[in-house]
Amino acid sequence: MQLKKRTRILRVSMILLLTLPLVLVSAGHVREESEVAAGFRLESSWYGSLPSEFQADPLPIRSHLALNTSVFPFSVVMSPTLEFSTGLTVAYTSPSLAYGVSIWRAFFAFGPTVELTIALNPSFSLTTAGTLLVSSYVHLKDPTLMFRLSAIPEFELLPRTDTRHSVTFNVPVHVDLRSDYTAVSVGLGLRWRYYSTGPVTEEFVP
Amino acid sequence: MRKRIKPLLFIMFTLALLGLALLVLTACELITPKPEAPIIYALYISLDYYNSALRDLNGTLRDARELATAIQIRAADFGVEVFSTMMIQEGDASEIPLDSNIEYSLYPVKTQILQRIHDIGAHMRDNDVFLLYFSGHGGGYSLDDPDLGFLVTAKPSASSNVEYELISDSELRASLSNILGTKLLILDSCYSGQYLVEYPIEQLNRDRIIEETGYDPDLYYLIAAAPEELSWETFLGGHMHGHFSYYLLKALGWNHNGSTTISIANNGTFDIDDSFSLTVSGNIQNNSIAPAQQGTQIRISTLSHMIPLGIFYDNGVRYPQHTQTGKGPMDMILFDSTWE
Repeated sequence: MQLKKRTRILRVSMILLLTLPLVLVSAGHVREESEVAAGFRLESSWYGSLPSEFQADPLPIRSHLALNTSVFPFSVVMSPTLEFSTGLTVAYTSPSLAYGVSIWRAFFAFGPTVELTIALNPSFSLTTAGTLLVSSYVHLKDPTLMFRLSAIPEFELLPRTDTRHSVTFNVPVHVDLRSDYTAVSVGLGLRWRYYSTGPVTEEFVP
Repeated sequence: MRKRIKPLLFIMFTLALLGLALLVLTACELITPKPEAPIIYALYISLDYYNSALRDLNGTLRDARELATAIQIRAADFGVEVFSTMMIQEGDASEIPLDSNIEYSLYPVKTQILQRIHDIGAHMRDNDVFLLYFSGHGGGYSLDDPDLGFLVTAKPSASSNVEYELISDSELRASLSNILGTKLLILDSCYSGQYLVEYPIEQLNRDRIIEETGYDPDLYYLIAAAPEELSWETFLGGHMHGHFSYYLLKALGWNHNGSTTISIANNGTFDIDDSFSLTVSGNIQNNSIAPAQQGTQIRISTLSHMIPLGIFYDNGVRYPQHTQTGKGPMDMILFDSTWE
């Protein structure tokens, strides 16, 4: 795919994702009393690249270390059990462990994220996310697109009962879909949220 | 506040984590037995074209000899065994001088180069490395046929009517495809980017690219210029050098002070006791670490990154020169001190 075409797709996708909350509000899906939040997530993961057949790699998995951070400037709490967030993810994945004379390159990636968090009970929620990432291997100026699907269980560490803040412990699982290979990652992370309104003390109604 | 976690979801998630952990533990680099340390088989081909109608090149032989010396020294630092072969055309004799002590079979004519690649390949194991370095003229760039490329080799014999011969990119790729192991193609010649086979990133045209270009995942590149670019010689470090080769040497820690005489194993044979002596200007300082070394390794993408963009002016025209290396996620380690 031509770089110009990729850039156009990326630009349109970013605009759509980042304006989605406004669309939801204007379409009446978010009630007037809905609150908004901001936050960020920081995580560190084991990252396994799964080589494709044409790459003829001697190993079935290449192990890397990954660091990801996502910033969510605008989340909408649509109901006590449902939260919708958009943000920006920035990621660094280290070179793989070496094997013989081959190694897989490190890369940087960034792109828009859209997430839906479902609270299954007051202390446990599940977030599903989609992220469109532009990635570039270190030392190569050759940006490519990939799509990241995520499932992120969140365990509450600092509940909202006392403050406007909440902190959750995350176990993110990501699947990166590229045109030439796929990768999976599992890690540990923390997510902080800051809510526009005060502490919530009412009883949870699933 | 409720503390109960939905049991089914928790069990499913725990199983997923355990499955992934099992996958990692059974497949990762730490568990799989490591391959033996590679032996590097290096073939240096270099020509100055003084004996042909082509434009003379004044830095090519120096580049090849200094690189052979630098690789030999670095290999010794990393405990890696190297077998080197040099195929040199030097001076204005119509073919190899009769009084020379160089074997005619090492004179860089087309058939002998291809035969030498074949012979070296026959000695290699699948964990070895074949390093092919060429410094000389290259050509063939065409907008109509971007795959057209060739390396210019020596006049085949004094009685021959042709001034030089050409090795096309398809001929070179075909000869390399028969070699077991990992191959590193280092070219310092004009239009050398044509030799770099496109990485088949897109699923849609992957089969076509692999079929048409013979994409080889074991072939890595360090190439002096883009397909449409010239590769320049310039006065650097007190001598004429190819811009690309000069900075490649620098990335390996080569400096241009003094001189080095070393014994290099070997020249066209595969006998460890067979060696030849090489004296070149410059050296690598004892116990120095190459600027391109990262941790325990010297990698191809790091070497490539350390060769700066060249900007050259000829008759008022500006010519850029961009180093090329393969795309995609795979990178090659040239030296690693953890190899055993």
